[in-house]
Amino acid sequence: MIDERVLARVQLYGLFKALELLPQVDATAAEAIAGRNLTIEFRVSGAGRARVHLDNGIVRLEAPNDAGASGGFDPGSVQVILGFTSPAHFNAMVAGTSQPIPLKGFRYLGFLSGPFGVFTGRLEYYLRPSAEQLNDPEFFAANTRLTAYVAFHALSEIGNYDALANKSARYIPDGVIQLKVLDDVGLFVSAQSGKLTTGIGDHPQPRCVLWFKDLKALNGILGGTLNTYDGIALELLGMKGFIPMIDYINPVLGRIAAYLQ
Amino acid sequence: MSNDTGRQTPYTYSASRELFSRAIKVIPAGIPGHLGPVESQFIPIDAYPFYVDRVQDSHFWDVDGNRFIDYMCAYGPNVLGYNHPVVDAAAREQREKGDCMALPGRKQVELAELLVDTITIADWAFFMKNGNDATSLAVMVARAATGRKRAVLVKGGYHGVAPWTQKEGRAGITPEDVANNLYVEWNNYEQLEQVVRDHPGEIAVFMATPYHHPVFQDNELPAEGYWQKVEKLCRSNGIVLAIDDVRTGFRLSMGGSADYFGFEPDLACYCKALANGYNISALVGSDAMRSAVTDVFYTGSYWHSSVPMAAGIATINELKRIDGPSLMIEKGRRLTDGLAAAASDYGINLKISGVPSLFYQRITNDDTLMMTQEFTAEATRRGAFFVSHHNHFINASLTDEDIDTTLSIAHDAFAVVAKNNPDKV
Repeated sequence: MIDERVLARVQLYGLFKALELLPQVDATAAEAIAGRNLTIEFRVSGAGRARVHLDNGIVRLEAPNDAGASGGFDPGSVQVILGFTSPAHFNAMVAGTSQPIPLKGFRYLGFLSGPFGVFTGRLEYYLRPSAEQLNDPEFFAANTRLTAYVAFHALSEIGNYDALANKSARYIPDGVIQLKVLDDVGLFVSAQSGKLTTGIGDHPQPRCVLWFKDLKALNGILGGTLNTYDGIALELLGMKGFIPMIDYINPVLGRIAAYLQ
Repeated sequence: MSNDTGRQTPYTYSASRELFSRAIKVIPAGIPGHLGPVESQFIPIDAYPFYVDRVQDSHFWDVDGNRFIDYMCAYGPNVLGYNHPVVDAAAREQREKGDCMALPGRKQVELAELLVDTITIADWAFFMKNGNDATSLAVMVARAATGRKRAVLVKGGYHGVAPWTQKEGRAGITPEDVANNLYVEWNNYEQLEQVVRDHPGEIAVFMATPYHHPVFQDNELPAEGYWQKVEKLCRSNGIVLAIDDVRTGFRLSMGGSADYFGFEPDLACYCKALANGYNISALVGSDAMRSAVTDVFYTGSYWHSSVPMAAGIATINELKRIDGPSLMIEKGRRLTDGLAAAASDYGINLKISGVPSLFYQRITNDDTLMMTQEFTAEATRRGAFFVSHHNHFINASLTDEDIDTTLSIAHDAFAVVAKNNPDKV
């Protein structure tokens, strides 16, 4: 069963996180936002808020911290604010069946429905591929990296807020789980008193490591075409370190597919 | 070709991998369950063999011809040594008469009599095949005896793989499967007392292992007076006290591990060391539980087979003759003292916990367990078969030469670990 609030957070902090990577892997996306300096805030009643900063081709997603100024965001001006009356409203917008409520920045609506729409459309292009597209090595790599960004950022949201996943996530021992494709993308999940946060890159002191031999192995796991047990036994992925962390995060990983379908 | 140790050239496993590549096409996960490379905690996997070709005493030879000194003992069943002549002769003699038959054989009665004579609390014995058969029966018997539904278990304890023993959220497990379970911390008597107070008239059974031997963490013996207080609490509240002696049975005391720690449960589960690898398990209990176990309908196609019972009789008699538990504890102590000393030569602190006949080892220089994993992998590549995070097992056939060889291998392995972790030693 999908919780609309959790789905909204998965999309707000997981799916949108992949926007950061998008200009790096896709020229069309990069071109769509080239030269734009703009901050767009998404306010989802009952789920949370996030800001997408466009800064000369670089995209940054900002989630509010617990105690910061400016509503938990870094100081700085916001040109566009889009409101949503409920998590379901936001989820419908992402699905393309509803519209946001512009609260600020009406003069940017043309950009939002034009170039920014092209930009976000490229994310969908990569995340909903055909089998034929995946035969293209370049597309395959972009699909896998973007999917990893979405999935592992979604993992923290699901672990923290999905009732079923949280039954396991709250017992994850404190520490950092490094998720790593050898010689490629690295992401990590920090667990602190049962609360999960996802970070990008290689953590200097992971307590355990879940590694993937290559992007194909990661893609297989994320896409459900490679069973984890088979993958480990065939040395397509592996783990080391404090394995109980992975034992407890596995049920959370198992919930990702339901939210990302 | 047979390699006797991998000290000069660490082992490789091409034949194991070739066999596995066939297996994974026709067997889910290739090797499902606790002998599989994932559940066995082979880290890294490439350090470990997957398939055994043959065994003898304390050794196994994998399908690549590599010889290992075996500290897993088939996860416990090898208690006297693989292919023990006395046990195998008894099994062979019975096999010639019959094994799985239309009615039970004489050996069933004889084995039950022997267990009643051997295990302090046993007034009867009921036979099955696996440890989980026995733990599940224990819970059913407790419910039948008390008319209550809840079971109190220790967090991190292992009682098998039946749905009631697993965690909610794991594949195939529903909330209802574990709805009647209550959990307490090991050695926390006050917490158990509180749970009993919070659930008056609801708790059928408290089940635990005689001491706490989970994976991934140091094993813990019972605190002074813990079991005696637990026994008293159970008695005064009408709760059945059941111990899971599946892993520890006959490696601490022939009278049972409860006898070793000085308390009297109502039920005790046995399996691994019962018949030196022949497939049988048992639930034993006090007279107070006799009527309840009689009422429970519980049976299986092979549970009355006579060959494992003949092997069980021979195994127990042989363990008694050589004082197996004391022997294994002594051998385990010699081994573990040597391992800890070897580690310290390289600035590594190897912490040994549990009873020496089924010890747990962990390098404490870091909290990630990565150094422990490196050590067990390097030792295995050189011929001393250690897994990463399970307790290990000693069997009675382990020789001084085996131990000496293991300690030489350990020196080599610790040297590699120290070299790889200069900032931690």
